[in-house]
Amino acid sequence: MLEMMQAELMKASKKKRFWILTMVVAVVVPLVQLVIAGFVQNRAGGTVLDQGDVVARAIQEVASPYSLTRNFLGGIVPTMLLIMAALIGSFLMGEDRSYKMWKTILVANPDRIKVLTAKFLSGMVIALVIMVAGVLGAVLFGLIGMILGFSSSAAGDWGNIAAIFAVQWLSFAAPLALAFLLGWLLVSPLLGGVLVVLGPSLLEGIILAVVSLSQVNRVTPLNAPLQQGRIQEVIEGLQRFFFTPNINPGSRLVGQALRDTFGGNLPSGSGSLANFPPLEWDKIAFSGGVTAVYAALFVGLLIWSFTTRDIQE
Amino acid sequence: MSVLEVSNLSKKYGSRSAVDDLSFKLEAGEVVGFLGPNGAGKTTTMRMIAGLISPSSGAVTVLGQKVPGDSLREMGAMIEEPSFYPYLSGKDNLRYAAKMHGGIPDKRITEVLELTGLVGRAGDNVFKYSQGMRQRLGLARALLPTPKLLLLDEPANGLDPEGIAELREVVKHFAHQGITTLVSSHILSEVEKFAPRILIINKGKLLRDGALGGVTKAVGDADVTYRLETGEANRALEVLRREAWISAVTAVPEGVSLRVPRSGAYRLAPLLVQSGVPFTQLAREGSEAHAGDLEQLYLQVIGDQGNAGGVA
Repeated sequence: MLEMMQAELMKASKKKRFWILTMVVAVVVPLVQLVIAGFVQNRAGGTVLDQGDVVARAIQEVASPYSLTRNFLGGIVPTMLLIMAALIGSFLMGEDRSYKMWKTILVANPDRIKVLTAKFLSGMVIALVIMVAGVLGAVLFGLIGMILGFSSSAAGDWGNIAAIFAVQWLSFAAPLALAFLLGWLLVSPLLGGVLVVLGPSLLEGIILAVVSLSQVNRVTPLNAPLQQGRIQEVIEGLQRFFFTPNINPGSRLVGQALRDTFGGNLPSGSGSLANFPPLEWDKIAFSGGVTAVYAALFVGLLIWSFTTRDIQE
Repeated sequence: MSVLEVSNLSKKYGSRSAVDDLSFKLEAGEVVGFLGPNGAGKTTTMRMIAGLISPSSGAVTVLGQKVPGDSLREMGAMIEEPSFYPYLSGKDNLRYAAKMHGGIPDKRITEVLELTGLVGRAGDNVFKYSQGMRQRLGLARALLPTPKLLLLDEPANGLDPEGIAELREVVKHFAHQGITTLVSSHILSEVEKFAPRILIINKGKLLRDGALGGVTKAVGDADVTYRLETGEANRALEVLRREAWISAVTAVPEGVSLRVPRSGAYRLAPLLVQSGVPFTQLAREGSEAHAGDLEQLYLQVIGDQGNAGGVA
């Protein structure tokens, strides 16, 4: 198993896409935040806008080791989670079909379950390496920010950061399993990748639309508000079990930071801010459970298909 | 115990039979040619032996163990055109396969590269390789696990004459090492040089299984069609029709078309020269001249033996 994983990781190390992705998360993203911090300090520090150290606090939120790490886990990882799954899935599964490599791999090792397990674990390791690089980059650039005087402290809730990092990495198993499944089933790795990124939200949107329409009765001035409330309740109930809202526990770090900044008065339903729920571990555990069910479903389908399908290409 | 035993193997796609009740055995150290025209079922059979596709009925056992199973790890295979990761070097592709197999030391990678003459280009990315080099690399990969059974599907595809000759020597070398080898081809002349035994398959059915000499003797000498380009077609027709060993002599726009037994083809040009028939070209028909031979052979096998009833 370890040798098979070594083989996949050796292959991954030769792919520029992973180096580029790692460079982006470890260097470009924190660097951009430092540049923004420098810009804010130069243009707004000590001006009429700078009331009650608001500029210093704002800079602390984007330029300290803790805030850069939190922003990476809470902002960047959720944004790129499905993209990362699509890239890794198409690399480890889809390309093997397009390069006609399955006959080679399964002749070298006919134990399909072992091959699949090694590939999946390799995908998780690749994601782990990228995420660790992102955190290390955030800490390193945060320290540079401290040296440059953007922030004065590296303090923060590092315990929660570590816990969320672990949960976020484990949650990655679900989108990765989806990417593996689509990479295995579809002839085109590109189509598989696009479907991993867009498919779940598209499907969820369709489900919501269908369910909403099925709940609509004939509208009268009297029942319209009631219907709206009922439909909203049904939608919120459904969304709790959807794929995309549950795979990003990291976004709760940013949600909590926003709540802390606004004194817990973050208005619900207030545009994009409401997309960052607070850091509540019982809800994270629920999301973890939902994600695990999706992962089990995708893995089950994948194993069934992978072990029974003929290799014709 | 046979190294490979194929028992009543069938594969159906809907109502079409790709392989139909195929049975044969290969003993240790045998080199066997697996012949058939394109679409005969050779590759499907090899894929079933390699555990890549599941049979509709029947069974394959390798080294006494039913496929799919651990005994497949004792097998090397190059099925159809070998495929690689183009962004990896030849050596890294071998390293990848070695690690997927497990337990193959780096020293073995160097050995197979030497055996296939690729040491000098092993560091180049595979996308820079010619078709012939890819075939050699595919062969090297099949040899990595030091196999007891080797499946080679059309291994000479893309090889130049020198490469084919080297391949022949490598296969003979396998036989001396006791490696059982099944080599598929649609080119009889290629296989007959190293495979003492051949299996002929057509439409998924085994038509012949026996020593090569026995099969060709039973079948007889295949005819070959030639096209003669000449400015004196009437003279050529007159001369050629006089000869009993030449058949199907007909006028065509560029000259004359005729058929001769393959064993007598060498007499054709001297006959024309001695008879004073000028010609600009004497060419075998079709681009796959050897395949033509084999098709003739199949036709005769089918004609002589009927369908599967002809298995020897």
